Amino acid sequence: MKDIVVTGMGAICAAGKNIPAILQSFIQEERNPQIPALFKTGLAYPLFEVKDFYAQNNEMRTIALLRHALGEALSSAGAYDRLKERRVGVVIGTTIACQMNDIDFYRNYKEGNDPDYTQVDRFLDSNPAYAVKTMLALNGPAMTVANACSSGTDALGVALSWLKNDLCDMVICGGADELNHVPYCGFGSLSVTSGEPCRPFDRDRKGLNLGEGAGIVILEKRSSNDSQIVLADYASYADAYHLTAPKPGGENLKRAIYKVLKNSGVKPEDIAFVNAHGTSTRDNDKVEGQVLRDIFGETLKFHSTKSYTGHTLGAAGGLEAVFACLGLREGWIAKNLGFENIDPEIGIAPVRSKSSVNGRYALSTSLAFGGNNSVLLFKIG
Amino acid sequence: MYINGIGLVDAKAELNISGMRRAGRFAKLAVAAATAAVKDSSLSLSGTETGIILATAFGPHATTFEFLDNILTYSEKEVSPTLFSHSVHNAAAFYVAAALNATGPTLSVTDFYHPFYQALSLARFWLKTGMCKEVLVGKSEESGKVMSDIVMVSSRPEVTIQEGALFILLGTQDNAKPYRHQFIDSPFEEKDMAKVANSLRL
Repeated sequence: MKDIVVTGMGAICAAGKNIPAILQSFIQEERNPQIPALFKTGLAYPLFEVKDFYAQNNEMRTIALLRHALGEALSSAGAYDRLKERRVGVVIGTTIACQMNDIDFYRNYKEGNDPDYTQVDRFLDSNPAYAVKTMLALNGPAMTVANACSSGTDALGVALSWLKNDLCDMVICGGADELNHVPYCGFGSLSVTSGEPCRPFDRDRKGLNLGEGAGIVILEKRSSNDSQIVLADYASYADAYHLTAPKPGGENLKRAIYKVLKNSGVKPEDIAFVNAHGTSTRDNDKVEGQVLRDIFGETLKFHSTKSYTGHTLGAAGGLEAVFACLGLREGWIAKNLGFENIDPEIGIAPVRSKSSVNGRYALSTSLAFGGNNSVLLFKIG
Repeated sequence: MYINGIGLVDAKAELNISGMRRAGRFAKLAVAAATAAVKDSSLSLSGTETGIILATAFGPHATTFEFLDNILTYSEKEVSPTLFSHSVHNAAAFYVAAALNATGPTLSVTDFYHPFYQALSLARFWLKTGMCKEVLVGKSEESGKVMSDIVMVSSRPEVTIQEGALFILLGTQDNAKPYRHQFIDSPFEEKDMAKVANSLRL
């Protein structure tokens, strides 16, 4: 079976509106979470907004972010010319775009104030995968994954299945989500948001900061002998333990990591680095950090890029897949901003500075509401 | 690939399911249908090799609007974390996984066209490649006044929301059930899930 390779990537998030800008933010260790500007709120949890970015013509902001990253991904793949002649599928993860989370509309509806019903049309037209399928007139399958914070990672897993089973020649995959007042209140109610910039894996971390963005990967079957990034495998297991908290011990995150390693004949010491989920919540980082320590030991290079992007929910897996590929391609990974002290319950530290990475393999991990533990294995070669 | 069991729950069902007091009707419908499909199969699930794919068009919209009510009624600091966590689309799949101790891959997919067909198609690949020994593939929809009202006055009033849930247990083993259909790969209309289930029982 031919390798499934990454032929294009695109990204937009608070760290930058394209991949070169994001890499520059990583190099300069820049981040700037702020009190929300996109909506009015009395809460004071900082957010990672994409600045000076506006949706046009009543388009949902999530779709606008997706369209932006998609353009970069298709351009970098040189794929526009191939779209019509090939079986092109789309699978996109999201959390916001599949819900009618419009407080202003709902207030007017409840109060009988003649709400703007074009907002309902906007909702019905904003299924992300179908939006892409429609805008590019594609002829393959379209699927929107609503798997909470692992949606983007699981979307790449679906894409891998489609390509391995010859349903498609090319798949546009990833995740997209906008910042929205409703989950902002919701995550606040769960007491998992921090009033300070997030500090993934740090002993004194106080919670996550929400973010927004889109990360898109173009996957195709290998057609050249050039060195490329390969999506080697995907695995996912459920905790079936708690709706919002990971299972202590991380048994099924371990199972997912071991599965992709075994399927690809890769040893733990072959992993150059891990782009971890690293939300900066007490529970996530403890379970994930312990699992990484148990499998890879103290010498593992790992980081959470959420300290640059915030937690972008359905977009996170897509963005972090892009960042894992960039790490392999560029030969370095970004400093885990905000980390100062090892949490004794975790026992290992993420990278404290921009770090070179050597090796052919990288992992991207995602944990989610609902107890999902999803893992992607990339290799270069 | 074989259809080993079918579970169907309609809008009239009373859903008093142990351990789901806080869950909304969307999740309860899904759990009832998935549990019925497993019971119908007379098979024991294999835990880590049991996958779940839940398709939906609208998800737990009644819970979402209840959470919006919460935001409008109380201060932003006083909204219910329980309502919020149950308003996400994949809460239902979590409850299915927990009820059946199914810890393989769990996926929720959504669109307004053919989510169930997409789910079935993916389940076939999960089985074919050995990712799972069996896959529970289902669709759940709940009814709700707000969503029905607003969709009716949108520019797409033809979109209808019917309440109910259907789950099919797909596996690689023939468990000699009377329908014994091998699932190949054919899309079908999703408008009436009861018709789908009945057609499979021929």
